[in-house]
Amino acid sequence: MEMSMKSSVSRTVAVAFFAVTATVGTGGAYAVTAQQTGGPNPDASPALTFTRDVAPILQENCQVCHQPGAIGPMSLMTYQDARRYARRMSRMVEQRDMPPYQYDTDVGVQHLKEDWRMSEEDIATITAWVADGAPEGDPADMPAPVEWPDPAEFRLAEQFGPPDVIVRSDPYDVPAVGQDRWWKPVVPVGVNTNRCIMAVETKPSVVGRAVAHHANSSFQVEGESAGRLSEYALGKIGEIVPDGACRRLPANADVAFDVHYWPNGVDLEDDQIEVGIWLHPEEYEGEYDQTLTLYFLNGGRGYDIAPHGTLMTQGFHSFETPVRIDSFQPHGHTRLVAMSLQVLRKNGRRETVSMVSNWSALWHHSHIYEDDVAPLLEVGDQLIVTGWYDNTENNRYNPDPDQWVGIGDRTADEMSHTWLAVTHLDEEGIEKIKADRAARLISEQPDR
Amino acid sequence: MPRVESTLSLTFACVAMLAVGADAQDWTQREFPLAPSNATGNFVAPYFDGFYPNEDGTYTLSFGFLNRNDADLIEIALGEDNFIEPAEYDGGQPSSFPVGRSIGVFGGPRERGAFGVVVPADFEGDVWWTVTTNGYTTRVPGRLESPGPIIKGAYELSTGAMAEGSLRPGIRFSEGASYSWGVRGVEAPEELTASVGEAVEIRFWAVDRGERELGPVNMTLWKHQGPVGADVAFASLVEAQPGASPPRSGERPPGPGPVTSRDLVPLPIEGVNANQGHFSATFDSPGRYVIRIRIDNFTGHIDSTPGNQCCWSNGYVVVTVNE
Repeated sequence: MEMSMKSSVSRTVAVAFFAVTATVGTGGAYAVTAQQTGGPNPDASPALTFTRDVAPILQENCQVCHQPGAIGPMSLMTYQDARRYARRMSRMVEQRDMPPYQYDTDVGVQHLKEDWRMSEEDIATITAWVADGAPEGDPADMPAPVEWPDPAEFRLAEQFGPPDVIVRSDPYDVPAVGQDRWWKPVVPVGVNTNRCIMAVETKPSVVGRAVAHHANSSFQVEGESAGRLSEYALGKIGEIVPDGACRRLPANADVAFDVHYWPNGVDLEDDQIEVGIWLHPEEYEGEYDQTLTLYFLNGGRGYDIAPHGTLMTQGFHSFETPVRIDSFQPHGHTRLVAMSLQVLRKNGRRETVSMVSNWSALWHHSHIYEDDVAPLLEVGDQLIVTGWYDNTENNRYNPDPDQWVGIGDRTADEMSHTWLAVTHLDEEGIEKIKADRAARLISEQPDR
Repeated sequence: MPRVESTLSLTFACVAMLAVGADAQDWTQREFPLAPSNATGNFVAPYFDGFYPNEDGTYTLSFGFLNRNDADLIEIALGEDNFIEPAEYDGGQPSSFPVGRSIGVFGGPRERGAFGVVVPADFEGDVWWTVTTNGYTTRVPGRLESPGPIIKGAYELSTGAMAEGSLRPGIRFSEGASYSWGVRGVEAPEELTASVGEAVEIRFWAVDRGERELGPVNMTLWKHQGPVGADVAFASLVEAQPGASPPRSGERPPGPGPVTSRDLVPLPIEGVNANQGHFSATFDSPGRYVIRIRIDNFTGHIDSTPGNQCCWSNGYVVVTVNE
């Protein structure tokens, strides 16, 4: 028989997981232009050096997290730092574990907004530099230090300026230990006209980033559901609504938060989640609605993974009007390792849109397609979303391969869905997008 | 994952047997990713749902199960096909595994926290629950530390209030007794006796708990243990609460009448029968039974669902049924 207990929990939650998740928070918006940094210059000195060749790559891709006081587990600011971790760094970039943006490079749509992937040239530079003994080079070649954004600021502010509206969840005390908590306050937005959202970013507190597993937000008007505002999970930056589309903010709406905290050994007092919203001007109406919706892979039914077993789940969806898929974000927990998005055309042809083969719950990226390559679906086309789970010891994030694993809210259980941002078009709209893309393609072709 | 039964074309089966001999591979042990679920013929998967500390320093290991069928009730007697090791922890597990009911978006059809095993404060090692269904054996360990290299605390449960303040409800079998709560729960102080076909009435008290406004709790009844194949017919004797909301689609209407393990019966919180549960159980076969009463506050509190691993408590009643 059990009696009352008041959190006299003395066991220690291992913090090793969060030594890894600690790399989650600020790594986002900055490290997006890695592809633009060049590889080794064959006309220069043949030896790759840190100061000339490697430091610029680290500035572009790594240092936003890997600097003193930031969330990376080690600094990569100086030659001494980089030399110490050179072999590990080489291995991590070669395997594309870092930068943490798990999206396959050889299949599907490759032109993404906010793409953190390091270029092949940069990877080759780092691995060759390490293989050559990691020489420092001439200190005079060292690039000027980068001014880093404040980790407490919204990351999309660099692009859009300060948010027009910031909605804060009611404060919540997250205990140091114990099971997952779901905090669901409802707070007013404070906007009294119907507006279109240009961009939205959900931002946990700096300290709370390691415990805020996800933070969903939906609109309510007079207590009734009025559409999804946003979704956040570990590592995600935000969402940018394409030009011409409108994610609607209803007048006089409230935001209903759905925050999933996972205690990690540190008491958090009065933690708050902030949602920054950038709005189009009042006169902007947008031609088409964009929605962010959860699509199940399991048809809403349960599933289970055997001890030391694997699982595949799959979901299908079609639309009543033509649509454009603006972003794809897999969602699962510690056993999900991969997810793909495909389109089965009504003529029977199957196209792979996206494949994430090394997915991890530490980084829930929303893969935002560039405007000219965002997939278009006609009425009758079918989305196919497939997820793969690994409950073996080969999955390093698996807490316990001896367990049966089933569906559930908590991190030790599993989920199987994807978040898709979808612009709902009509026949005229999809034909116009196709024509515009074709025209740009022709205009960009070199003269013959 | 094996599928224990299915139908093969007899002709094809005969040809196959001729081709590979009578000791052909056991095809039921193959895995079929994305195969449709079966109404019958599948097995029971035992689940370790996590652990939580008790006030005296011990820990409770929480176990549940998933009947992987859509329709078939599975019953497995305690013994060589249904046991817990070390043996000192054996005996509290269910022998009856009905198909579960999904509650909440991510609830799924599995029954969580059907029983608990209490281990000492200095416990090290594993408590294994082994279940064999139609010859297929699977088992899970209850343990206080996960072996994964990165994530160690994933199976730790809380005894404190959830985000909105919900706590596990309280249950007691005597009016003057203290309320108990938790997966390990409380056993009725007296064993009951009954005859086959005779309804035995059971009363108990149950209350919501939480650091929030308190509300009604629900009663769900299970044949937890008993002779394999024996049926227990439950009937709620709880009167409908005046002014209670009409049942949602698929819900059992309030008031007295038959209930199954899929029904959540709200208990009154006002009137002379406030916080009282009352039901009858009628047995069709002699033997020793354990009835599980699950008390939950799933309805009305968004931090309390099976998927959240909160908030319910168990009460157990032993009934010996004679011819």
